[in-house]
Amino acid sequence: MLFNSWQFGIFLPIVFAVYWSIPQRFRCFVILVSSYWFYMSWNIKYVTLILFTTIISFTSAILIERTDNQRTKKFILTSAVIACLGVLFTFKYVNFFSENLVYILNLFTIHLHPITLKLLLPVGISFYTFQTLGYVIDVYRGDTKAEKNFGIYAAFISFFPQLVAGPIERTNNLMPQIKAHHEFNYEQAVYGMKLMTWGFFKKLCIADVLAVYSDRVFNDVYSFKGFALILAAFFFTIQIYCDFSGYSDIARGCSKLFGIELMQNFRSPYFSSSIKEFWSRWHISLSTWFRDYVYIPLGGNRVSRFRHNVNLMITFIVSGLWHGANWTFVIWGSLHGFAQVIENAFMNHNETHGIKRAFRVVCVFVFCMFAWVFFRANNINEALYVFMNMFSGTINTAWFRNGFKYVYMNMRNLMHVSFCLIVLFIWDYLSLKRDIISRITSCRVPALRFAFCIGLISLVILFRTISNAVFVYFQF
Amino acid sequence: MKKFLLKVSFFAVYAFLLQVVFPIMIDPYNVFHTEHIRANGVDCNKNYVKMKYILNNPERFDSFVFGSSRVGVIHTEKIPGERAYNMAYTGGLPSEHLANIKTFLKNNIHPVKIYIGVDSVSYMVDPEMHISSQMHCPYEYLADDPYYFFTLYCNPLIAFESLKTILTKKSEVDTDTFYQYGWWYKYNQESKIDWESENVKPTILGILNDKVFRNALNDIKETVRLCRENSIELIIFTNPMHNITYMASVKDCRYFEFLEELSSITEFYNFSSLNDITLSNDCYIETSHYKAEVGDMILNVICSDEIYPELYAQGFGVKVTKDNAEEFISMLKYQLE
Repeated sequence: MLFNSWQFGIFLPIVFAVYWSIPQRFRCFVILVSSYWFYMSWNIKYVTLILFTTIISFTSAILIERTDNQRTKKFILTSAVIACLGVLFTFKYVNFFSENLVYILNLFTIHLHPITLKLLLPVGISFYTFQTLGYVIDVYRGDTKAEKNFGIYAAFISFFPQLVAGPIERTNNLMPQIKAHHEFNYEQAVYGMKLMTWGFFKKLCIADVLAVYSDRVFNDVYSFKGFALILAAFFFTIQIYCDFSGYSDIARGCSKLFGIELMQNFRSPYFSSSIKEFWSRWHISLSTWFRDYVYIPLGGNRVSRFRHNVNLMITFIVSGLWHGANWTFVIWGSLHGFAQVIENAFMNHNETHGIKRAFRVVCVFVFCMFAWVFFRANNINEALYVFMNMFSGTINTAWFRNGFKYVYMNMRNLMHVSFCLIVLFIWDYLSLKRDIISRITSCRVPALRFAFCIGLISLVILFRTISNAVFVYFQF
Repeated sequence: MKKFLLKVSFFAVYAFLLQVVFPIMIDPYNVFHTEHIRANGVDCNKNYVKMKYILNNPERFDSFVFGSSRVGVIHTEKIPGERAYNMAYTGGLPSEHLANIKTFLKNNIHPVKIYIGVDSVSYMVDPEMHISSQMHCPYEYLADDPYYFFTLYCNPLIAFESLKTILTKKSEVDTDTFYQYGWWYKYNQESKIDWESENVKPTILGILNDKVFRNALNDIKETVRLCRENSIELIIFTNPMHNITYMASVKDCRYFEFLEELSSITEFYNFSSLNDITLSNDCYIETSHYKAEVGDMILNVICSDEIYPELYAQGFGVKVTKDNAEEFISMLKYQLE
């Protein structure tokens, strides 16, 4: 069930009511049951996979903790990683690797047929797999204790607000909260509602609106040229941010209703003045996961410059591959990795202000926009077509006007989108230095607080679009 | 907790009133008031409203005239021997007409005759654009998905815009005509534009796209097949486009190619060429819609086999078949020289 569905509108209040009505010792059970129910609403068969991953990681962590032998610990860790990643690999990557292996073998005149498994990718598998891996590795490293209660551990893995699209939570943040005693906190719950409303604004009023235009182009790329392609790239850049950060906000807001704080996943990433800063602000839970479990174990930046760059590239390529089994994602990741390598070599990372910072911010945005073309395109050829035809035609006012015309965007829709983007821009800009919701909530003028709430709700209702579109990151 | 629940309830009620109650009450597109449409300042979703009306009154009519708003001038009471209803709606497209006919048949409504007016709009406008449009969303899409129906029409922004019209009573709708005949252009309609102005432009809707072009022809082909299978007499005619719109359609919109393809699918009555009707501004409301009087002439040709000799020689009222299509289209091309 989607967050923006009527089913969730019924599910959430029921879970909320039951959660706060029953004694504390049963609340973990409520989270577990409701989370599995939430996951089963997508496809009942998916439950077996998450259960398998949960059992493997739970058992492995306990065995690792019980063993003193380092070699045995390593063996158990490796087995758990292989088992969990094996599930992910089977459902997500086996066709991709099989096709590419066959292609390479064909170059050596070894002719084989690729294995093609017709498996539906389970929703959220990349997210919960990484969450379980993070837990097992943390236990191995001694950063956290193995959880002995299977129910608590299962609730940690399957916690429904963050189950299907993150944030990828760390054991030391979420597990204690699942176990902790919670009293209902009015301010926290109100904050959560406001955050959810803002998340819905980003998803329904911006992401879903822009999706109509960007999908139209990217699903039939060869029918478009010129400014329409630039528009599609720009719209997708905003769409994926609003879609994903909107989901994260709804997830965080929803968790707050249960007294649980999830980590912040986005911090105004398009106001970054470098790619390095961008990745400290975009999908923070994933970038920190890769930093802690891939980049640092490879040596991080405590190695030679060459090796450091190699580590960066490996991390970003793997990150790209995490997003999808297609060379377009690998290229997207590689572009970001390469950009960071160049930045490290030539750029001064000292903080900048004023026009210099604004210029850098624009450059980073444009770079990200072009990189997203690979992310969104169905294949490399289509991505290259977009780049080669973005500036085709005579650039004059008709060129711009036709761009809007070919994506079927009329003046009314343009004004709708522009207004919403201005609201987003202002909110994200102000968020660079302050927590807007906290500021408003702590405002002593009740009329202002009331106006904020009414205004936010009215924005969502007045500007939302009609769409059954899934959240983009669900496909990962 | 009580304070929180009270607060949430208050905002939930506000959201419900704004999101649901207000739009349903105002209902600019009359989808919640299909049996008694009101003048709300916007054109109602005629596809939905008319379909609902016909499905609720299945015995009332035995023949239907489909098309875009250009066909809205056809006065169906002039069709002899039939209880005809004008099923035209704004931006009507072949795929939508096909879906409507299928819905009729599924609901045991078996028309004796169906007329469909086509022109460049039929193959230039992508039906996909209509799905998210409150004015154009097809009946079938809404009927099959009640959730989408409510989320599409529970739109307070549009309702606010209609409020002004409703409160100042600036708009009128002739409900008798709407429910009895379905057309909405009266006789002696005055032109809406200044023909002497330099700003008179052709009315070209949509964008030329090969996929949309092919799909439209396939939809017409499927309509022909469906009608044949169900013993429905199908008459297709081309709308007499104003000469400015016609020239633009020919020059930039593959119109002749459309006619060639259409002739290979079915015979049709042609009214679109450079003739005394299409060259006369007095016959048009603007460069898109011809007047009701011209609609009567179309009916005379189609239903009463009347020939206007001078106009016939210019291509108006010619029955185009597979046998004479090539010659006829050559004649149309010759007219341009």
